[in-house]
Amino acid sequence: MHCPEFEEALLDGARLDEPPADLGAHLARCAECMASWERLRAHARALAGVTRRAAPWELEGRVVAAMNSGYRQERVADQIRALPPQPVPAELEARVAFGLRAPSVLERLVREQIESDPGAALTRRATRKLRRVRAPRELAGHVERSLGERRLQRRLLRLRLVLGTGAVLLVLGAVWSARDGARDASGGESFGVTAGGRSIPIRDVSYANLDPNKKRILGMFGGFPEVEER
Amino acid sequence: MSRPIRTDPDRELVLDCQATAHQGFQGSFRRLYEQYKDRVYNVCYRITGNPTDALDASQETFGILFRKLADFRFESKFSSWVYRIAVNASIDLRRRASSKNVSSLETVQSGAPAEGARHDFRDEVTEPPMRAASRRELEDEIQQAILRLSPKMRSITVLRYLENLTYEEIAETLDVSIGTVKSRLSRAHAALDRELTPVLDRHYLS
Repeated sequence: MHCPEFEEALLDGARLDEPPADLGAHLARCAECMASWERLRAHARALAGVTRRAAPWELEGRVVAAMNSGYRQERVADQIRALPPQPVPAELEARVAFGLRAPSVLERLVREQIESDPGAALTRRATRKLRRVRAPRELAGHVERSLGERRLQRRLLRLRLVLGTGAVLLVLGAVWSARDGARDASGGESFGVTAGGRSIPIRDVSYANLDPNKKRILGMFGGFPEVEER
Repeated sequence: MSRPIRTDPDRELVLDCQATAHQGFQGSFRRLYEQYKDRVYNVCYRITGNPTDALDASQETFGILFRKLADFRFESKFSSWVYRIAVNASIDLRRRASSKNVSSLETVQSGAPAEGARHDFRDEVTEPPMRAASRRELEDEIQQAILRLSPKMRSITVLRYLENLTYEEIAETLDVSIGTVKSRLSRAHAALDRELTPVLDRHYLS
């Protein structure tokens, strides 16, 4: 911390070459200010003693180039300023008066876009920047195994269908033959009736065992039925 | 600052330049350039800290000078106006360079200017090599100390101690009041004490 008179003298434009007259007495009795003064004088001398540099020779060329460039810009600016004013289009006033609106088609397109898939654009934007990942090597094995299993399942299914159909046919065949055997055992006959000129076969029905009501009904169609043996 | 300065030593030259502006560099502007080129370059060099940026800032300074010379109305001293343009161009350039981080870092850090960039007024033939080397080393260290100051204090230090301007001229150049010049110089003294004392001690003790 310096004494106030020292600060004041320094900041009053002292050149630091030699102490100002009014500071000499103070410096003589204040060792701290004297030391500061000596340091500052050394700094000032060191700074003043720094070699002055001559401007490099290329500076002139660069200044001339910059000036010429400025000339060109000025000329262009002058030419632009000299351009005649353009007349205002007649429809401008009308447009301003009615207000400039965005075309209605734009509104429709935006609405359609939002309504059709509001999340699509957002999702596209979000996923577009995702890093592409490479499929792991074991994926091929997984796919192959999965396809093999499906093929086997399909074959098994086909085999089951064939076997199932065969079994059903066998059962039906067995039932059929069982019914035939039963009919033969009961002595049933096959008859046919003629109704309206058409012959209607009556199979597996023994006329003798026929219900009397049914016999009566049969009798109503064209008199007594013409029974023919098959 | 609005009072015209009638005793400007450059008045005639500036008026000549304004009258012959259409002649470009070949008119009186060449005389003006010759008169100011070293002062402008030195200020730019001390503020930017390297020859490349100093060249760019000097070019910028003379470009602005030429473009705005017609509008100069002697409301301040012409030399103060030139210094102001040079200081601002240098600070702007350094700010741009530091934001891009491409400012000739090797020359700033090592203190070694580019080859061929050093143009010394001294006759080095008469100076012993050892002393010349020692002087260069000291100057590089002083330059580094100047560069460690803030741009405002750097400008004021360069103008005060290297260009030897008065307080009034500095105030006019930096467009601040004399009080501001004094307070900034006071802080510059403290900073220089901190930065330069070890440098000078080391140099003179060794």
